[in-house]
Amino acid sequence: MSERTRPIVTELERDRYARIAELQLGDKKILTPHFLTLTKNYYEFQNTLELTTETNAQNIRGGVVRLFDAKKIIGTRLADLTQSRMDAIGRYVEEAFRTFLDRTILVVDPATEYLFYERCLPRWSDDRTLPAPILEYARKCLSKKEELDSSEYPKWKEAYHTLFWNKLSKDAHSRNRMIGEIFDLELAYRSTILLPPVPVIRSKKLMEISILINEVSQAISAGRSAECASYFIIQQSILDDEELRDELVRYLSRTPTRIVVLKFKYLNLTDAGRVTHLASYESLLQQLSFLKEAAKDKVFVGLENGYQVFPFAVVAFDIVSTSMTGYDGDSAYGHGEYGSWFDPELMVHVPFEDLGKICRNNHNRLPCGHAMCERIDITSVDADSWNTSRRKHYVLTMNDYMTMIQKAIRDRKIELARDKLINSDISRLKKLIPRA
Amino acid sequence: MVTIQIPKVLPVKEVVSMRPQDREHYVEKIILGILEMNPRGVTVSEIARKTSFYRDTVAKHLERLVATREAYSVMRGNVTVYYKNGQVVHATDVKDTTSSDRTYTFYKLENEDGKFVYIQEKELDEFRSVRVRGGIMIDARYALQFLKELQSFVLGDRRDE
Repeated sequence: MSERTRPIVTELERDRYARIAELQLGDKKILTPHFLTLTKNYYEFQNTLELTTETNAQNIRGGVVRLFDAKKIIGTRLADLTQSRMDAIGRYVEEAFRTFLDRTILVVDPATEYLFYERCLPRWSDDRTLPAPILEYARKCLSKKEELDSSEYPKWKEAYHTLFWNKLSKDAHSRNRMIGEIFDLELAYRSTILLPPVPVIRSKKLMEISILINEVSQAISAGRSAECASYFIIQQSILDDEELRDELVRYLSRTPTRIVVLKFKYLNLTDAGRVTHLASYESLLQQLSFLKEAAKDKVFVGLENGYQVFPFAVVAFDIVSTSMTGYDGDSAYGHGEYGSWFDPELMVHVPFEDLGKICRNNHNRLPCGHAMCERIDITSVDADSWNTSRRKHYVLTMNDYMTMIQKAIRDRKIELARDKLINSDISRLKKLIPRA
Repeated sequence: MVTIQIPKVLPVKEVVSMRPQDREHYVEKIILGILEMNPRGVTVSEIARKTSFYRDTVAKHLERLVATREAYSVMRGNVTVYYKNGQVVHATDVKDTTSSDRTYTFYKLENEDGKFVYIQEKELDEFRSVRVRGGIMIDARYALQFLKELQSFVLGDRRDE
């Protein structure tokens, strides 16, 4: 009778490879395709709360928070839930957060690929609630980084990272304990689904380890209040290996899990010249699309989709996600006082300096229909307001895209999605959407 | 001898390497799965033989499932046979407004003994794991009478206050 905690997927409409489905996770219901915002700090999460609780946007009802950010972003808010504080106009201070938890989908991502990508390593070592093997790994890497010279360290880290996952794959006791502890943390931060801690797939061996961890995690998640997803973190070029790609799809077709989450690290198919690369992803999307058609009760979630978010939502993924800026690379944003603006028509970011030309014939207003954007005068806006607005604009644009896809499916005109890409600055991604 | 059906079970090495609380949940899930797959009933020995679980572990979990009314047992000679407690016809959750972590799930069940109303008390622990704390089964024919008795009991209590 524990079946009631399992997700319920009902396919409502279909036009060729694209579909609208209703996904019910406990008391929460969403329509797909849907967009979840990856938030990397307290303020971005605040913006997500405002967008999900104060606007009528129906297709952006949720967020993704990385486990090592969760303490600062969610932990403090959860602690505040135990108190009742009123603001100046008599609302409960944490009302928006409570509403968010009750109504939207929150995914706490263990983001264990950051044991390889070093950018967030110090944040791992700061959080004592994390499992011992992860803390130990992060601390050892940080100390070795100081000890070794810059040419030796990458080689040492590469070897140590491989050793870390190999050891965990063989040491069932440490691995199973770590999975259990990660699940406890995700649930303590109120994650709606459970994601297991898996390595970023860079080789056949790491793919095997990912599959093993996924299978054991399904067992360890028994009795918990959230469904455990099958989770794979994919290094962008690894799928060029046809054998690995087929192995992944074979596993996804035989696993009984209803939620499949694929995260694409630093994926950018918009670069010219990456022909094989684009073809690999075209093939993956088609395979996933066939899989979804055969198993209608499965939900596919894509994390860190970057510029590929639109075609991914059309062809294969029920839920897509990017960071709030639209950039999923770790170092690609944050430079300059005024960040770039996502152009809904061109589907790329436009530097703030170039917006002058675009807005000149529009009384210095942005060419955007969002009420929030119409109020911005780009000649006088201050940097803080601008950076908040452009983030919210990006998420609202994703809501528009999801609505657009849903409408095209209902009207049986999904080919319009291809036309949308053809008319954009990322037109080469049209290849990801089948012609027929 | 009839062979019982079992779901896919992890190797022993993996099961014994889990934390005790995770192992408990997992074993219970497997045993529930076995009960579901074998509507003709199963015994402790059959489950122990087909899985890697110890007899005592299986017996303990089956007893718990009977206590929370997720399963029921019937004595056949000197053997106890366990069954999943009926087919769920309808289910609904009722949140306890005095405690955000407690939920009562009402089920309408049907089994070979008839129709029943089954109320299950579920609680979330500190790590948001669902635990069935207890259950009560009422014959559907007696359910309304039971409600009246309960109402009169509760109101009687209030008068005492």
